[in-house]
Amino acid sequence: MISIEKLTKSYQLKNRRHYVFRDLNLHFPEGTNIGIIGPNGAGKSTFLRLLGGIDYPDCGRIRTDKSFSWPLGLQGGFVRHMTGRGNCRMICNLYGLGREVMREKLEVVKSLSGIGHYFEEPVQTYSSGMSGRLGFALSMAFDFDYFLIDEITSVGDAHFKKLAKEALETKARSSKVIMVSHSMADLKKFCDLGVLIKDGKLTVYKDLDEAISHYLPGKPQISTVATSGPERDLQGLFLDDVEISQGMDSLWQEIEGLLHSINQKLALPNFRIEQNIAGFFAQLGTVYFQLNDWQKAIHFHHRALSDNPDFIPSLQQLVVLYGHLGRKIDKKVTLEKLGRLAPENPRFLVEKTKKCLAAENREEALRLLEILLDSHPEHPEAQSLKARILFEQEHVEAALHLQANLLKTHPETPAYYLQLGRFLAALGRYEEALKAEWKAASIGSSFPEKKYQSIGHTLGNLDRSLTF
Amino acid sequence: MNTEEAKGETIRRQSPWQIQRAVVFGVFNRELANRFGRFSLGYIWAPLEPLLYITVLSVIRTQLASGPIAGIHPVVFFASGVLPFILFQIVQVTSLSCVESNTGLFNYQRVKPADIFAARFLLEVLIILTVALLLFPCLYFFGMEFVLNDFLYLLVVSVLFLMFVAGLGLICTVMGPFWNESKKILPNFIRPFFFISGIFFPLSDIPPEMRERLTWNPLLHALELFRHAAFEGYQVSPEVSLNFLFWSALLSLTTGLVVYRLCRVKIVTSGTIK
Repeated sequence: MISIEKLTKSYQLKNRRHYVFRDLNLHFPEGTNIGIIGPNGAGKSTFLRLLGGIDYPDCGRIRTDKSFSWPLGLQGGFVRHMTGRGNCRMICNLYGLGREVMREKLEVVKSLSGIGHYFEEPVQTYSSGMSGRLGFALSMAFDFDYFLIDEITSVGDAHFKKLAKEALETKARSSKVIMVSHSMADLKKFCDLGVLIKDGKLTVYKDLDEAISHYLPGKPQISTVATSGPERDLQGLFLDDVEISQGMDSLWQEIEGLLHSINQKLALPNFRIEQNIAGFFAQLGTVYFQLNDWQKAIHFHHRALSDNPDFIPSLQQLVVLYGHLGRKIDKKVTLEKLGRLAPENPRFLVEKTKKCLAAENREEALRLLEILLDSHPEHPEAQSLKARILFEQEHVEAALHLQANLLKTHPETPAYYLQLGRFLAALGRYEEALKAEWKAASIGSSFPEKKYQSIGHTLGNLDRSLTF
Repeated sequence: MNTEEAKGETIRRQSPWQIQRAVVFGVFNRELANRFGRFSLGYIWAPLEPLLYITVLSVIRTQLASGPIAGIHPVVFFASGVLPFILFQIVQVTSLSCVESNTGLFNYQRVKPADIFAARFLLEVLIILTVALLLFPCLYFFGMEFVLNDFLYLLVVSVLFLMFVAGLGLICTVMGPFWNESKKILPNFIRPFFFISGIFFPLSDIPPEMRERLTWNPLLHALELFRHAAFEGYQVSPEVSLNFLFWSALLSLTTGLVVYRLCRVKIVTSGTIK
């Protein structure tokens, strides 16, 4: 139980008194993770310090029977000329840890903080991120009822974040967090309850999302950009004659507007992504891939990978992109990594199958396809490849059967119709082969409306999850 | 994972005494490292200051006169005066910065200025005690003989003296953060006491009509009583009184505790005028 009664806290400034909180009355329910949001200087950190019992209000009181960690902030309460280990030992002493337990905990702290040999160096040689991480790792050695986290999840690489999350989750059964962060994604990961501190007011929301929606400014107006006119090079080409239907026109304008808005927000120094960062960039990369801008697609997939180097969807698509661009070495490296991380991954198996086929190793190729089709029986590319191998092994009937089935579920891909046509021709069914080719051509000439609709949809979601 | 939760319980359910002990021990280790860890041959520097004082005083004395001072060897006399005085001085001066030099430690809820003061006080007392326990046997061994008079009495005087020093130290702990200039003023204020606290003269050497002006100083009483309790044959003047030291110690410690108690929240609260 934490209840706050008539709490007032102020600071003396040069010629006036600044009230952070005035006559605050609050009650936090038992066993909730609390996320605190608010603009800079609103008193979030002060609130944590008051809760943690290291700062005192002017009047009023905080009643609680819980234990609190020290606020886990960027500076960390370390003695600068002492080593990381020395500091940790001192703090373990402060909390009365026994010798044996301490030795054990210090090793855990060292590995969790991920600062390596710096653990034996004076803290003054650390970057602020490092001392923050050390402070966090150290606090995990104790079983506080509440961990007071002040922006600490924003430091550290993906690896540390993952470890930190795991460490907090193992604590979560017995301990809760009270967390200040500007990253809505981090808050959403950990917190149930939202507290908004703004303009000297502290409001508790039953739901974190509600607090966030009260805090963040509304969705910015999407400015539609005028599409640049056709350049001189293109004059006289057929492009001018192409007419896109009215519906497509507005869809395209929406897509362009969304792309513009997203890129504008990404250019801001303080943008926030309210979902998995790697996932966000991978989706954006995929959109650019679908829009045929391969360089941008590669760029955004790389950004996804810089957040999470093991992000499989991006690796998968990069393999395809490098393949299209003929960047053989990049493709090989990426593919190897993908294979290491996920040996059962469909993209990896498909590429490996293609390699086997190029080397005319059909048995191996077939074996790989069976593995793939076992886990993904509907995988179109695998089915198509299998049909091709069957055809090459002169099981033409079986190949035709497979290809026809594939087209029933994936009627939108021209290449599949072309392959069907080849099978039919081999059986001497020329008329049907001709029809298949005609079908393929007619699909190719129609506007891929659905594709652009799904692009618009994806972009809408991405734009909503990007705030600043 | 019941054991994990049980550990959490033990951290929360520590008794105030356990917490106090753990904190003072933790801060003590830090202060120890802070005091000596930064210099090479760190521990050698601890007795340097008192030894320097004693040497200078002894050299001056040998130029002026010879023979014992009030019945004991001059070097022993100086040593017994210098060591308590240095303890007094260093505790006051370091107490002034207890709060400011440890803002990082106040990040931990358990650590309060009094803990830092206690750790520093303990450290300084132990240093002086160690120096004394090494120095006096050495002096004895080198022929400056003395005989222990009354150990129990020495113990009583020591306790009263430490109470006196601790009380003033607590006042300094509170004064430091509130009055910044005190860090400049106090050392200068303490220095003259070197000349009037009977470090290099016994009260019995002062003409009786002058003695009254010196005996308001509790330090003088403490130093004279130390010698009286420690060395057989030391001629202590009748104005020196254990009673006076007792009341000074009590007053000092009471004032210190009351002042600290009243200000304990304010000195670590942010946003108050400092």
